[in-house]
Amino acid sequence: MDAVLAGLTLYCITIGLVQLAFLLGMGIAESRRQARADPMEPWVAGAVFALIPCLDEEAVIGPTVAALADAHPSVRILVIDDASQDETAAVAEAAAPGRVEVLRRVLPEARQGKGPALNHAYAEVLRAVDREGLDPDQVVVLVMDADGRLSPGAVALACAPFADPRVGGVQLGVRIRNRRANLLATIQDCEFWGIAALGQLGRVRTSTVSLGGNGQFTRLSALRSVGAAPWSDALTEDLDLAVTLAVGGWHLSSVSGCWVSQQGLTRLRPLVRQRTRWFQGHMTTALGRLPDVWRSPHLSNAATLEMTSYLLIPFVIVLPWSVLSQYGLVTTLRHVGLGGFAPASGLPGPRWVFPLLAWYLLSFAPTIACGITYARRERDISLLRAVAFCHLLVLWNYVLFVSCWAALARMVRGDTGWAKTARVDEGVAVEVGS
Amino acid sequence: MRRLGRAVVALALATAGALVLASSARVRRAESQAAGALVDAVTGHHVWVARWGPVLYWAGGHGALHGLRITPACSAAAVVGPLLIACGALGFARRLRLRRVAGAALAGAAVLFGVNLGRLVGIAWAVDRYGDGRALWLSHVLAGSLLSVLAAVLAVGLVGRIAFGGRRG
Repeated sequence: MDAVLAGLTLYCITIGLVQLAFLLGMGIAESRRQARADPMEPWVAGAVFALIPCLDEEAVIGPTVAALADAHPSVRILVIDDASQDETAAVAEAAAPGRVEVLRRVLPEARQGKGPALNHAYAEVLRAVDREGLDPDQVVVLVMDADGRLSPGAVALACAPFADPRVGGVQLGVRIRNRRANLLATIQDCEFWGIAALGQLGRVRTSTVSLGGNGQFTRLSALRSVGAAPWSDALTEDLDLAVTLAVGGWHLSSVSGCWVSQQGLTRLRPLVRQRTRWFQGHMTTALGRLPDVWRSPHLSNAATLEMTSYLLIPFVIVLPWSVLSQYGLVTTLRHVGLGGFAPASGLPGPRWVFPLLAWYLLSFAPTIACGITYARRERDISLLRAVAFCHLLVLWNYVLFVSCWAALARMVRGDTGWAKTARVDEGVAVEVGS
Repeated sequence: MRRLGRAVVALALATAGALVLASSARVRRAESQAAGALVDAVTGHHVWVARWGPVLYWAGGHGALHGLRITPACSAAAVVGPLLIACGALGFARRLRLRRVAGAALAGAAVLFGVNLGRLVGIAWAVDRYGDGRALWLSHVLAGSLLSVLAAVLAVGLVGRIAFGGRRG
């Protein structure tokens, strides 16, 4: 039994390490390549439509619309009010008068999820494009969350990859704006910016960057190739769209040097709920879409491998590791309790030092690597502090373990209903017109 | 016909993996034979390989009799078996070239067996040279564990690179 568990543990560690090393290694290489490369040929979109789906977002939508309108005058802003019960529509209109169009959805069609809300706005975009005779190849659709803020120049930088006609989507890295609010928010920033955004850059090599719900740029012709409703009603409609586009032969890319910021959650319970929803969406998409990935004639073998390993993360790494890591911990403690090999070893110091040292090296090496990459990307934190801080990611794993098992339980029960994540006022005042 | 051939090769790979797991004792015996020959060559001492199990004995440089038992967890069989089974599953995927999958399986298994053999010889060498206290702990628990992880990473990376490299099948 011990041999089987040892073998499984070794495989779990191995697959995790291979994936982490590949993504971080390729991500660093791609980041350097983009930094060294000549500035990309400016690609000027015929039009950029920003879609911002909202449900009771009066606390945050004003500053988002105002910031987008101020910094990106050419972007056409569509706020989708999904039957909010608060002043979302009024706040959005007041934030950038004449620059924003609010699309009001009413019940019972409204509140069917983010995908249907986006599809509603998409139909409006198609009508505008037809009316104005725009070339769908030259039109870009940007999806943002109600609390999303683009970094300066982000639209131009994110549109540059579209100069390649094969590129159908570009995803920006995500930063947590309130990352200094508390430890949870900082951990989310480290996770999003230090690890995930770098991993996304690594996936540029296979053109399989995953699309997110915030800072998602897609070419209109790519969306049209999907059909009348490109965003599905899946819990993670963004991931579902990424798979659909990749399987359809579109390249998905990412760029360094710009980002979208959003609010991080500062309390544990909402965070677990959010992650449970993400895991459930991810796992449902994985089970439903993997056959499409393997059957696609457009995907290279490398892209197939990359997408497969990404989609299977919850099943192949998170769930098994949630059990096996406890086995590793118990085995180590047993060794420490029994003295392990140390009593006869003649090694200096207490007998428990070296078994614990070995366990520490094997368990924390990946998080130390993550700390180093986070320090390189987040200039406000010293290397030493980042490495020390990243040790908390091992504890953070338990948030993911709980969320992943809860998501699996919901899938087994067939439970798919979800409340959206609540956002808070950041104290930026926006005047609501009368 | 091509489909049948593919299925036969894929099943053969998976069966080989299952056999490696099922006959772990035999595999360990073979590993002890190979390790014995190598330890003999590296240490210069005559090595006895037990007939009753996967154990090596040799008279060490300090005049002590040393023994090395290859437990199920110390054998490469525990990781080679699943690797071959996974490669067997990949063999059914028509988008992958069967030759590359088979080659990947062989390369991965060779790395795992080879590095594990090197690890066993390294432990024997360290014990022979420095005794079975500190040297055993350092070579077995610390360096040995790290080497096992590195070998698995290398093998999985190699399988991915070879099986999924090149054009579609």
